[in-house]
Amino acid sequence: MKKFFLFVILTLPIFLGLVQNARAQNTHLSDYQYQLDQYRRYYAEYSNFKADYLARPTLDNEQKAIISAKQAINARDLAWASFVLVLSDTVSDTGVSYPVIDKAVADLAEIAKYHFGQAVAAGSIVTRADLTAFTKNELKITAGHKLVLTQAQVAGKLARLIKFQIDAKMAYDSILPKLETIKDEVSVQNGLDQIQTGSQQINDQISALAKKTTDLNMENFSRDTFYTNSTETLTSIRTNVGRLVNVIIDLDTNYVRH
Amino acid sequence: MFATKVKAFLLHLYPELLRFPIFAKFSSTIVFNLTPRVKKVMRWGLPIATVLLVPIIGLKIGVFLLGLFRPATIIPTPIEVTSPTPTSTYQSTFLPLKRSVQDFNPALPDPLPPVFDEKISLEPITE
Repeated sequence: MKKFFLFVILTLPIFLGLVQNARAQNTHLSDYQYQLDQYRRYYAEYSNFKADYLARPTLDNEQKAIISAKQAINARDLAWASFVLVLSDTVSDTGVSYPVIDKAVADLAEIAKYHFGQAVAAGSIVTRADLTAFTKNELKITAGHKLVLTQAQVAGKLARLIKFQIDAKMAYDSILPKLETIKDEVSVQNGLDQIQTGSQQINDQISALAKKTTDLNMENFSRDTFYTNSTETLTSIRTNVGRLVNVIIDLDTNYVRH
Repeated sequence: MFATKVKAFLLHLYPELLRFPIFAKFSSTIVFNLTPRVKKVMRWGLPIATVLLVPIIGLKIGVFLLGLFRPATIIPTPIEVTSPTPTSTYQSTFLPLKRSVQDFNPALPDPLPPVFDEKISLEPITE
């Protein structure tokens, strides 16, 4: 009995360490990196077998090419699903609720589910015709995903900026009662006015970009142009948020009695 | 009367003073009853005490007189010193928020989407 307890005591830390390590590694990002490596390996095999098949179109070469293609598709869809979950994490980890953000999280969950399903469905490919049909079908559906992924990219950035706004508002609310006795001083009044106008300007910019993102459609959609324009707007919002936070810090440092 | 007594006392201690006319008339008027031992002590003690007291009293008088004629203390006008502007050492609790805003990367796309072959097939596919 004593030996058993001694064994348990000695092995427990090792067991707990292994569990902790497994948990730490089980993130969407590490899944994505793993699946990406898998895809690269299987895609290289697929490229070789396809070249062999096109050079010598025998049944054996065809089967080898189809099997390697199935493996590459499986790894590709799992990598896509993991990437979508990574993107979803960047959108949702701020905990901000906003229409464009909530929609992006829901859409990304659907896309991830679709790719997980496709990874499984790739197992049913048997013939060359199956492979072609599978790819054609996937191309048709994933064409619509590009728009959603683009919107989610912007939603992730907006989520971060809205979180800054929320934090800045909390900071403002915490210093405002402490400025009550000196709020008539010119510099303090100036600072408070700047906060009011600045925050309103930022809110307007966020709303405008959110609307522009939501209104995107497949017909007049140029991803590069949209990214360029959105990056400019995001840069401008960041500058304004930085200015706003500086004013709050200035009031907190120089006028609030600590 | 007191001066007479003093002169007589001194004459008793120092008979040699009879050589001076001022002491001659006191020689027989007052008689002091001192033992020879006390007389000896006083005879020697009195000059010694005088020698000691004279410089002490002289010094005291000198210090007193010095105090009367001490030159007035000259106090220079204060030099104007530039005091440094007081700087606040308080660190705002909102500085981490400022750093987060500065670290925010507005570049799109982020994260960068992977590039995959979306046309895996054994025959050419046209979209």
